[in-house]
Amino acid sequence: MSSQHQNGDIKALFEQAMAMAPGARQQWLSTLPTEIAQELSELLASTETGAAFFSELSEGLFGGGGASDDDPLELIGSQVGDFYVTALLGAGGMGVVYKAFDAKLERDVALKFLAPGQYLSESARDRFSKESKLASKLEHAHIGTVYGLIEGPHGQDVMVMAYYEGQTLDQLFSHDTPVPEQLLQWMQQCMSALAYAHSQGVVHRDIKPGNLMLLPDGDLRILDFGAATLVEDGSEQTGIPIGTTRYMSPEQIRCERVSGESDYWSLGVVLLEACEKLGWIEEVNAFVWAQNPAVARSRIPAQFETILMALLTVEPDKRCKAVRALSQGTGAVFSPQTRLQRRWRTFALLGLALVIIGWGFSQQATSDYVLPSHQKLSLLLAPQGIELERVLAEELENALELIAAKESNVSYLGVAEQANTAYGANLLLQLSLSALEEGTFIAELSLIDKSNAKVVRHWSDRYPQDRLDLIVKDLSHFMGEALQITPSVNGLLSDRDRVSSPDAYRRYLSAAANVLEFEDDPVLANEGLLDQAEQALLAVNERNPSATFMVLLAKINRLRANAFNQDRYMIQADLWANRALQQNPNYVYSYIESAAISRLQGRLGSAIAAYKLALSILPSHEGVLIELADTYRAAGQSELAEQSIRRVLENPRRVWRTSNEIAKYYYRAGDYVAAKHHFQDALSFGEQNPIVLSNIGSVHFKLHEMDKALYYYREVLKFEQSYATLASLATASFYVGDYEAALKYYQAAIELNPGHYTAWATLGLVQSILFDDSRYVKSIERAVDLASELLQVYPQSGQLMAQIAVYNQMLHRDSEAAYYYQQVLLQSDINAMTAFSVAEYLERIGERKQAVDWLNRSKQKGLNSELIHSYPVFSALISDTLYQQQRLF
Amino acid sequence: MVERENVSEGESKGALSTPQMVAMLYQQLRQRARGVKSRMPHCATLDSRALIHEVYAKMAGKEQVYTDEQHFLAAASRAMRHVLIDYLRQKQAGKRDQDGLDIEAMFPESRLDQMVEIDAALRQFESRFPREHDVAVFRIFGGLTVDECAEALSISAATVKRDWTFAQAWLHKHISRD
Repeated sequence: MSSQHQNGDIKALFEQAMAMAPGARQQWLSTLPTEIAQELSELLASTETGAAFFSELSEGLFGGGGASDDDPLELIGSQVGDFYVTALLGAGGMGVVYKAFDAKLERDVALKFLAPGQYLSESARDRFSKESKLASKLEHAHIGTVYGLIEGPHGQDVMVMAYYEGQTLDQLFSHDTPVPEQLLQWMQQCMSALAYAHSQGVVHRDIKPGNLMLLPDGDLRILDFGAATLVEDGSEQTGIPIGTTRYMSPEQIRCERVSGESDYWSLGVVLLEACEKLGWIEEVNAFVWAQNPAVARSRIPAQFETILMALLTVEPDKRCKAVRALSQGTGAVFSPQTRLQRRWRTFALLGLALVIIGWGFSQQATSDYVLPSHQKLSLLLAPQGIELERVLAEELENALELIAAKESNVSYLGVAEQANTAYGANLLLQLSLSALEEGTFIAELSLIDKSNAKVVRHWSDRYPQDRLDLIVKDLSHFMGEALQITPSVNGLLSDRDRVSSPDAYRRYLSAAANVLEFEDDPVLANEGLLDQAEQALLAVNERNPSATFMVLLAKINRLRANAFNQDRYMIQADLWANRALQQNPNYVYSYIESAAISRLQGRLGSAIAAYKLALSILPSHEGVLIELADTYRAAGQSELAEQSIRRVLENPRRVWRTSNEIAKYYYRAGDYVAAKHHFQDALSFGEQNPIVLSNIGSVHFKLHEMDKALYYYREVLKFEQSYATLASLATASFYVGDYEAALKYYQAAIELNPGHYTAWATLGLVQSILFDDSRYVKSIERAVDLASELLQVYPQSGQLMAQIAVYNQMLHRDSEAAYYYQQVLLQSDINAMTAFSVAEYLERIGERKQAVDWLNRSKQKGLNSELIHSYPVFSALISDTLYQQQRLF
Repeated sequence: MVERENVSEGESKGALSTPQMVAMLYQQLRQRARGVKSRMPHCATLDSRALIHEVYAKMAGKEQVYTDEQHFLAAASRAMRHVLIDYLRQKQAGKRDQDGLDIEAMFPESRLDQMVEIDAALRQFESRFPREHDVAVFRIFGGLTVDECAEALSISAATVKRDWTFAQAWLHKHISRD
């Protein structure tokens, strides 16, 4: 390693070397002291690999290099060889293409740079340069001209190509559908260009819409011949085929030797895609179609189908023959217009509309599948989907709850992230939504038989951004058919408050996404989300008044009222809920929202009435029945609450989730014995289920049955190592005095999630019990740091302040502890444990009278007075007459 | 009354208060991340939204005033580095945080070891080349452009480019050596 004083030198020398031509560099290096020359040449050797490494890394993190997307290599305005770089033309997996001006020949050119991350070995570079020499010899009316190869600013290879005005087929696809006659012409031009190139020994290897340039005169040119070799060598090393996966031939994907036939396959995929764009066929994987064209419903004209069949022949040898046969019969296949094709032209104009409306849904289904007599459904949803997906999932979830409430043989088990955590389900509905760049969405819904993971029904469709309203309708329709829902219930599904304007619905979905995002994390999320949603909804509602919009407006105001505790929001929430009820008295969510608003305001009678009205529409909706029970209980009408719960239990086709929900109701109510009973019931449905096991553990914990709690938590650990489980195990161990175990579990919990201050604090506590040294100090200090960070987010939290005070006390930082206790005293909203800590503090500093006050406050908030008696600190206080007197009241 | 540690410093500087500023910039940073994501729908990019949530949670705890976006992004880059390294450590310890990011889904296995190595190399680099180190952190973990780095560090774009070229070579050399 170099010594310190060489720091500046080595960088200066490095920069000096970088400015030199590679030849001169070597000579210059030999004049330097050996040690420096050694370090320098190592650094120089790392320049390219380093740059490649970090841009790949950055791509992984940010989906693009650190540079701006308008100029990924930061070249615009600079000079490369004789060329002045003027604009970015495109960037893809294989490379970045810039437009540049050739000052010598006074013409525009296209410069193709290797993609960041694609750096060549010497042998690959040789091959590339050979290949591009071959490519530059190609002269064909439908092949983009390659001028040659130059060296880029970092010594990388840059292909110089002719610049063409026009758009790529990819760009055309993004905003338009091709015209069939022209498509036919382009296919013919491509095939003649490929045949020529192959005859010259050049294989393209990356035929895709982005490489097919459509010139203003209607002709096509294939771009980027020879470019694919740029990366081919890398593929041999890593075993990963390089190209654009979607268009790769089967042999390319298998990493086999690739010849000209491979290009024909890729062209076939392009044609298939064009057929999709024209609305002739629903989206289908080329390989699947090639093996069995009947999988997809098709209206592809015979002429196009013949070409497709030849191009998408799976076996390369057979493909070669089929394509040859095609070109021999050119007259027939590529003949100009027939009457039939004129008809297709009309179709093309209608293309997009056809895709959306005409197809309904494409079901790839095993037709002989018989649904189970009791359908137990879980909704599978990836944890990090796009927001719209979550909105749709919520719509689906509502629909499923509705179906479950109406159909006695259908139960809904909730959302799961993976099939193996969809406990108790026999059917899975998997929703996925992907956004295409051009503002189009592809929605997919699969019905999966959980026992064998087979897709038994599949539906997918493509929607432009302005027709998102159709997705929900189609999803419900598909679901109704797939689950063989009786027509009346199906009617109920599609009869829910429908929004007529597509644009209004699109804006509604985006508002709903904002609200969901806010609900996810009301603290970190910006309330601006709610403002945005409200504004959008107010605008659409003015033009298309609808109960759906009004209910969401009511909910937005309820969330605000809950978060900011202001009356005006409550008034707004009420207002919108009432308007929604007037607008559509059959819309069940109006009643549910109205009930939630009343509940928040403490108007329990109104809430009960609203839930009852919701039940008059959906008599056995589990969620509503449990909410109703909860409200009755809050109103002190426990008999009616029990009645409501019994109605849930009456359902003969219960699933574990039902019992779990009922148990949770009792748990919230503080009736742990009843909760335990129903959790056990949930467990009796068969499958071992960590959710229920963990809940039983928590009930035992609440009942101070720590050994049993420990047993159940350990069972959970067999399924999943989660922070919550480990922390629960630690705490239970602590309570039974097994400090060694507590230490072990706290450490494991912290390793899993080091951000929870409580775990650090209790770890410290255990350490201070077990060890005589000061190792606990670090843990407590960490707890203080984390809790203080959190206090910045929740500056009003008396609980946090009290915790920080307690920790400081443990660290013997008395003045800090005092400071935080003083802060707690300024807060209005304080819970039992916080009040208890304050009392303890006041007792310690000799403020007996105040301590007694705070203990009483703590008891009013529900603190168990046994705890007071078990604390040695309070022994003097308990015997004090002050306390004795107060106890009488 | 006892003075709280590390607290009051930020408020006297006259700029926006931290919560306001952070909330505002956080939104921008998120939009930025979202923009990136929507542009590359097929790319297995790290879910920047989840990551930035984490970063925000870390930053919200620090009492600090950000004078402008560059300053904020620079601070975000540092926090981002810590968040990533934290996760990777957990991952290496064979643990996975269920509440947090599913790093495996976002990051190829082979990258994991490298990230920790990068972190180690950066620490070595810092003592010898502090400014170049900052450029590297901003570029690697914050995705700052050359111009943004230049503004954040008050140096010229040309200097940033030179620093970055050097940093990449140096870091890579030190990573691949092991």
